[in-house]
Amino acid sequence: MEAVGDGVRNRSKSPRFHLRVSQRWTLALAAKKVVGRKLGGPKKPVPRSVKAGLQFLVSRYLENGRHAQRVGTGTPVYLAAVLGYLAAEAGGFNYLPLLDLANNYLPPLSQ
Amino acid sequence: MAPKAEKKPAAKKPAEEEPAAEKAEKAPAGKKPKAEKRLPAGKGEKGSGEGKKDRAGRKKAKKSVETYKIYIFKVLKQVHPDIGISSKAMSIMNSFINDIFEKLAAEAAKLARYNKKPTITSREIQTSVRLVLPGELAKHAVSEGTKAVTKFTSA
Repeated sequence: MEAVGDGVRNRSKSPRFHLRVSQRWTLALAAKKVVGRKLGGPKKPVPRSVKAGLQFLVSRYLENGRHAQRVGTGTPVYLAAVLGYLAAEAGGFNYLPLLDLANNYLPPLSQ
Repeated sequence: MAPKAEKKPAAKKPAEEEPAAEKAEKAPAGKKPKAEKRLPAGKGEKGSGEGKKDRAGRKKAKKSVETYKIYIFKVLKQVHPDIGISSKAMSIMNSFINDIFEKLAAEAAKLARYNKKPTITSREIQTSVRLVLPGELAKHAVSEGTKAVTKFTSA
């Protein structure tokens, strides 16, 4: 009753009423979007390299029967990370460990 | 003979690290035309497009060549965005990655067999990394692998 009274008596408040309606509408749309995303939307396939944040390919590195009968889920991810790190190292990021590698595993170069 | 041949490029790398870097720096200067650079990238893309490995010659109809070249290039752009790499250096890096992969996989297979388990898990890979790689290199590699697996499981 009071609201109606205010509406009738003071028409200057009508723009506020319109703003409120538009805000409610946008909130409803946002809610629908969120609900739609969560419930119904089909999941798009995401590559595992993107999931793990890697540049090297996460795939069937260790194929069945070659090295072992079975391969765990995290195994190619771990291996891809290690190979990527070694590629970055050998690419000139920091070559001191490579000298260590040479000292430990390779015979000294006689010149 | 084959393992010795594989060891030689590994030996050449630390000795010729600076010349290789110089070559990499000079390559964009214009020693080699850009057309030659594109060919290995194309081959890499073709390899990645197929997705399946063909080392034992099981599928003779599709002779797709799989390489690590596009991934090596991605990593290079992460580390040094404005440096290029020659085709020979890329070939050396590809051989290096293949060599390390074979070492780690063989060691992991051995570990799985010793423990009488048919599965290679990330734990086997971690242990083989510690066995194959020396010192600080193993530490950093283990942390990188653990970080990647953690992110993979959480995502």
